[in-house]
Amino acid sequence: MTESIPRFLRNKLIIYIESDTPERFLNLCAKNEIEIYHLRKTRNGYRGDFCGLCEAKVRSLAKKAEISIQIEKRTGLFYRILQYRLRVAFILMPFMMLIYLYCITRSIWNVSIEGNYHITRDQIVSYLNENSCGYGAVIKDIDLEGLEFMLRDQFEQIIWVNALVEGTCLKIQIKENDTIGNLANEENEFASDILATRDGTLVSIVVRAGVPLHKAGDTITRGEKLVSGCIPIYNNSDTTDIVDYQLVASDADIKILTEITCLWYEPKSYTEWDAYSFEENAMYFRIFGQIYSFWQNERIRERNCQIVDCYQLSILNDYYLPICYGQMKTFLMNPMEIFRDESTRNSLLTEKLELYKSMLRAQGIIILQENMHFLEQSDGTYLMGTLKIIASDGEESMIERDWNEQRNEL
Amino acid sequence: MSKKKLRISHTITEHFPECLNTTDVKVIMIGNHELLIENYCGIGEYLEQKIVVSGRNRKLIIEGDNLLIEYYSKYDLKISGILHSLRWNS
Repeated sequence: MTESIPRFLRNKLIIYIESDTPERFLNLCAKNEIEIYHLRKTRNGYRGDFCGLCEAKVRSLAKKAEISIQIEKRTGLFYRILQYRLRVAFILMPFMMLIYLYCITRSIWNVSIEGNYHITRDQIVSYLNENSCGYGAVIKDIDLEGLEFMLRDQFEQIIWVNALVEGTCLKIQIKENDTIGNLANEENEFASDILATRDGTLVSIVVRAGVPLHKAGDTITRGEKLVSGCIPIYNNSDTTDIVDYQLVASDADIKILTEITCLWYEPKSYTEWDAYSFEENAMYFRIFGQIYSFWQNERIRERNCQIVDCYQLSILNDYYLPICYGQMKTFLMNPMEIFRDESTRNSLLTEKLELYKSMLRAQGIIILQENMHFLEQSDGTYLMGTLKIIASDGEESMIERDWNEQRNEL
Repeated sequence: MSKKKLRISHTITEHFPECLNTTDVKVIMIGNHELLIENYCGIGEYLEQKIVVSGRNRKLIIEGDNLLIEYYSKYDLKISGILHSLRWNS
């Protein structure tokens, strides 16, 4: 055993020497660092094991010694590799598996969240996916400190967060604020103006903080400033001499008269899916987000599938792979084509309009006038028109001017 | 690359073991069935009943039956079989 392994690594040829005087050939082989084992005489020649050589070398030595040889067998590591040279996949498979494992462990394939009570796991996971930090993200591209800051900024209830990567699992530990209910809004400490968000006519403007720039009856456009947060401070003796400006957060009740355009559509026919009782449980596999089941894929699209459970493969606990499996429940859906006549479509559109109007009224909007009409087309019916409303308006816009420059201008 | 010849002074070689201080063929015989040979130049003749091993100054003639070279390399040689006689021939 101790001798056969080095011989296997060095290659071995079983050679038949067709000569009665092989001495010169043997001496040449010995001088060229070739070891000969089990050399014995046969009927017409000699046979032995020659180790540590290549075939071209032994043929050149035989030619030099002027004898003929036959190579009966070739063994050794080199010839074994040569034997499998066409089986490229067999040889490359272990390396490809290692490369594949190395590549997939460079990404996140599982997200673990601990400590969340009010915020659901889906909320956090969807936020991570939106910011390219979730499932499938490259580990080296994830900035963990930035991620912690983003989570605290996005979710007000989170007061402490720790994010770390173990294997291919992103572990997020959070601590939520123990106060249940709505958190008190922070006071706006910054000065702001109020801008119009729609075009229309100003109906009323009641200012509690700031300087009004328009009066009732004025026509305003979208984006125009209605209330200014800069209150000029005049000199006592001279009302036109502005000494300084006081910045405040503008506050006012503004109502404008405007028109909104409405459009609804009802088709002549639509498809309704009827789920009849046909439940079946089956195994599924999810690889890189794609679901594969033992049914045909067309059947999966036809049927309504509901995933019951999901298990993810992992190596050594923390190295998760992008392969999941589990059970899913399915039931068949039958499509039905349903046609509606004109009166039905009109009544449905009218219902939608009434619902919309009640929603506007619930927001405190007064509907003054309604100018809607039906339009019959080949594919269905449209309800379109305008509603004249009086609605509250005003959007705060922070003041960003450099007030040192403003004071210098005075 | 030129070969460097190592010259060992006479005074140093006096303390060397005898087996290292010779150019003769070294033969180790185990019973009458095995023979280990070192410090040779090559094989002069190889037959089932006779093997001739060439040394620097003389030849070693091995006679016997079913003589077989178990191992033959640049530095040592092993012969097995039924050994009848060993003769030196200058």
